[in-house]
Amino acid sequence: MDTGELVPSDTDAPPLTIPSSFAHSATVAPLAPALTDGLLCLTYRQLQGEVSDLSHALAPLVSAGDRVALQLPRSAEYVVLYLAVLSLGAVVVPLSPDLSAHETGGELLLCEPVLLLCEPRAPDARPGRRADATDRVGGTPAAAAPAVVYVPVRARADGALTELRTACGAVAVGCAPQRRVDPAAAAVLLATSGSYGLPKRVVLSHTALLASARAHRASLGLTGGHEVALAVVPLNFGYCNTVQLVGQFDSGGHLVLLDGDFLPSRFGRLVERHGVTSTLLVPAMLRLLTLGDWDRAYDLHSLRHIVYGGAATSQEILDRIEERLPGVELVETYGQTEAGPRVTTMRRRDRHDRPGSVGRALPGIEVSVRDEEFGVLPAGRSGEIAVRGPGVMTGYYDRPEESAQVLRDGWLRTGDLGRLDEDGFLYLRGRLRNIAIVSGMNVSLEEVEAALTAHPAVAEAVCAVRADARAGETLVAWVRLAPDAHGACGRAPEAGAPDRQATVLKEVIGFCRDRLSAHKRPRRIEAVAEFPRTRTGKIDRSALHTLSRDSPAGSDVPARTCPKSRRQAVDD
Amino acid sequence: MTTNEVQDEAAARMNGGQEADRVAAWAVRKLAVLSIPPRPEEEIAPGQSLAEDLGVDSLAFIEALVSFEEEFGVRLDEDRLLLSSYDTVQDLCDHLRATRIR
Repeated sequence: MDTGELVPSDTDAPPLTIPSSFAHSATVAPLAPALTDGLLCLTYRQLQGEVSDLSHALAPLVSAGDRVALQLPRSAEYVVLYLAVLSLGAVVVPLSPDLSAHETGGELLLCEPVLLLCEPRAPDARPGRRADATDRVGGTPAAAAPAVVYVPVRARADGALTELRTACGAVAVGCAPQRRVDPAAAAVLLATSGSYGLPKRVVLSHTALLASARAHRASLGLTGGHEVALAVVPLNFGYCNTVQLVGQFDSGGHLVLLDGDFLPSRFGRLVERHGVTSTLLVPAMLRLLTLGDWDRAYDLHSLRHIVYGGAATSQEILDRIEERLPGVELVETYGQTEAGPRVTTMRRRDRHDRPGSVGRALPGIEVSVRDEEFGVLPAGRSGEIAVRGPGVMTGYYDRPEESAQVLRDGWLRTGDLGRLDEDGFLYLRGRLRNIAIVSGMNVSLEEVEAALTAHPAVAEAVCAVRADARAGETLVAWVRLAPDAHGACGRAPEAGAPDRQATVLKEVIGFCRDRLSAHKRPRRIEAVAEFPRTRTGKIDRSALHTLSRDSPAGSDVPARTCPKSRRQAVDD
Repeated sequence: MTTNEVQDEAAARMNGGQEADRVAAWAVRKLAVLSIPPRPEEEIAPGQSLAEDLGVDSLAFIEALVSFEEEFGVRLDEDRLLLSSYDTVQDLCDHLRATRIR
């Protein structure tokens, strides 16, 4: 079968690869805005030029099928390099810039990239925590250590990507190297907690990403017109990667990147300035939009969709946002990185009649609910949610057994529980797998438990998931300390046991901070004398709630503040 | 300076001192809850780094400072709502006090 595509097809058939879909958009509207990051704004033609020059520069280092790790924040540099790597037929491995040295080393070992593109070490960085590339690569066996190119991000005094070009040795060539890109080949390896066990990488092909992005657009009725998407979450989020990055360039849209941290006022300013039509927010950002009077200062009429998902969001928060932004439809989505990630969409018109539903399957995607033997359950019955469609992953990278566990007869077993109603609306009912979704990011409980037990004073550790008004969910942990555990700071032997325990727990908290990204760290760690056990001696997770001394994690909804215009605070 | 003016100024200074205490108490109370994991108020010390030592979450921090604006009737500069604008507990208290008592 001839799978490659060298040039955009001149038929009506949609392009089959991400590079060809981008090239197609650039041919159709070369002068349309493609990418905005701070003061940098590139048209399709300009972005294509940058991508061509960069891919020429990287070509000698990167063969088709090679992995290239991209450890950069949300930036134009990330986007240009992403497209350049894909046009070489290579695979992007996004690494969060927040990973600890330990986590980064693990990812490099698993993925074996030929090249790591990352930021130079900040001059004031504290050693050990936010590792620089020497720390990262230093812990990797020589055979697996990638070449490293330091990319200064947003060092753009001249308003161009000069620093990026210099760092990669790019020169103006005008056309991309002609490499054949297989639509069925891997395009990205995205991080996931996996349904079971330790973190892994989801392999998503060009076909899968384009299919998922196109199905998302179809579910919102976006058939034409110029979409302007604002990305405020990390670009390696499943949704962001598929819908905002791949999807915008596929449909000829404009991708606007939030430069820096999220603030309602910055959000409003970007919407007004660039005519943003859609964005994705995590629950904590939805909460912030209900505070203050930021919305009065900006013209927000262009905004049509705010997409959210990954955690139940209170109706009161949604109501308050709709009150402030009456023209905006809040769209709840359900998805999973393994599914490409998009599975269902809940439109506003359906929310009233079907409270609690996450919506219906996207066009071209099938959802079914299965029993323990993988038999199909009828509407109304709860079971494991299975998904079939062109967006589903190829498998976990280099994990054939774990892939076989979740991919069965063309279906993806999501590990999520739910039921369908007669009309195909999906209702979530919990999870089979041991994960938490913290601020939109999956966290494997096993990974955090392994990090805790790596501390010499911890004999056993167990994590549990807690609902949280801001993050959606957070982790709490219980540890059973080793009998001879004592703090490394050497408490006097006569110090009381509770004191010693407190000292050790503080050490364990510090240990987590060094080894785990912020969103993975337990919000609370308590020492216990013993865990509840099943008859076979395993820790009984279902009985763990008996250990919990739950204190509310903050009010569910922020105190109502009238969107009054506030007085000038001080008279200077 | 008239006697009245001196008295006014002294009164203002005294109120300022109470205000400063109120601001510091507010900061300590919030940071105790925002720390990950949360900790007792007496464990919040001026020299601690908000991000590194207390592990404060950046979005929860913005929410807290917006509530500070409401509670104290002031408005902070946009950048001053961000965790990255502050290093230590002391920095935060100093800036909030200066905003309140000008």
